[in-house]
Amino acid sequence: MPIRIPIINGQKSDIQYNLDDENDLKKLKLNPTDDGKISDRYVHYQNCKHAVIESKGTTVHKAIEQIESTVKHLLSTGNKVDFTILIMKRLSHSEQRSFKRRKDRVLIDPQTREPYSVRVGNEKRTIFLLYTSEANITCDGMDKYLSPKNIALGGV
Amino acid sequence: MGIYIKLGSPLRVPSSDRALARLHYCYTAIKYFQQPSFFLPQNVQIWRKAPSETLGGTKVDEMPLSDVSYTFALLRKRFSKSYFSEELFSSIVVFNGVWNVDNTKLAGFISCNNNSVWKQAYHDIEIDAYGRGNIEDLMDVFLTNDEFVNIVQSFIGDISHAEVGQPMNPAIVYFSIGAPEFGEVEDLIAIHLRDWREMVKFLYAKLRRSKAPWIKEKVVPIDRGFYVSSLTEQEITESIFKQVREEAEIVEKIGNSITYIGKGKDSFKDFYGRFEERIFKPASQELPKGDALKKIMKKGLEGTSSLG
Repeated sequence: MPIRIPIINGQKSDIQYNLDDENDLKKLKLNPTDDGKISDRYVHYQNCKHAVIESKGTTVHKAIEQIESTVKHLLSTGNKVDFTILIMKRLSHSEQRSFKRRKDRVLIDPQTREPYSVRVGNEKRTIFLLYTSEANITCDGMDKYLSPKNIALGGV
Repeated sequence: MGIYIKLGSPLRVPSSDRALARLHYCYTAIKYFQQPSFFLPQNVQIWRKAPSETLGGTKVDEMPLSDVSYTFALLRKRFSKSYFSEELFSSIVVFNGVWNVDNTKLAGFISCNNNSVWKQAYHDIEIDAYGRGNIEDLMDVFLTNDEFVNIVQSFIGDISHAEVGQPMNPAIVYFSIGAPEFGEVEDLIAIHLRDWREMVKFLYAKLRRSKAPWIKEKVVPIDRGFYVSSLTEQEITESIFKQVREEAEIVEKIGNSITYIGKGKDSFKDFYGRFEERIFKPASQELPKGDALKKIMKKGLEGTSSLG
């Protein structure tokens, strides 16, 4: 099944890397045998923002571990990552105690209300959660959260 | 595949013994999957709170896993000594490695979940792989293997034999895509539990989650134990259960306990739908509604006050 890349504030991605493709990994200077935890896509949006996308997560913790590992590898090889997107069929009942999606689609810890984010040094990369059932996966709602300091997609 | 083991015991078991039991069953699982070279363990990591920094976890320790028996002996010693320590209660012990099934290689893990929050979501032991390409998880790889039913059965056999001398035993083993929960039939591929009555309890848990008016009005007001035992003590329930299970193409394997294995990803969903139609619905049809019960109780109380 092809992976649907989210359209954010009307912006489509113009460059996509398939992280399951060895040639694409080479272009990004990534080693396919690093630790095997790798996300599905690395994309570039028209406004020069880069995102890591994990689109087939079956459990949240596995998907997040894959996103974290991919972000760290990409940054260590000189690539840019502005934010990350996790696309899931649904959140299982049992996982809803540890994970919740905020109105702006940011993945948070329901106990502390703190967003989950991939931290490298002092910088944080937000994790957005989208459901496959959401038509076209158009993320217009994200702009409320995307301050210029963070991602600023679509010109906030 | 996600394989999730939930341990249980009729007795109260100290936390240190619980942690040691989790290690024991983890060891059994690794040994089982190592034999046909399905899983090659590479290292062990001990995390506090969660198994990654992004999830709020802290890595406490990491060691290579060249000699599985030796590493487990070290871990047993470590956990035996750390009774009441934070490490024991909040830790997640992750055995990372590589799955190699039918020439498909995937990174994966077998983990012991001592952390209570983590345990609620992912049970005592979690066995899975990280998805890659068109493969979502280990279940996708195993489902295409002709030996899937035999693998499930022999794995359950090994885990069950490992019960000897243990304070806890595997109460439920789920084979599922994603994190399973008692009563959740979506993406369930196989389940191992005590007996068919336990499976009825499982289906009942699914029924209780439904928002259909007849369930809210007639089933919810009745005590769970009473409702389920009233069904399972009827002979006809067992024969319909068998019939419906066969219609949904679910295989039953009986040992000391029972394993149900679905033919496809929707078998258990189908099983539940049929069971609801043929058992839950007709059995609940003539039950009084919760409001009617309240009225009867109120009438009884009014009778008492008029006597006084």
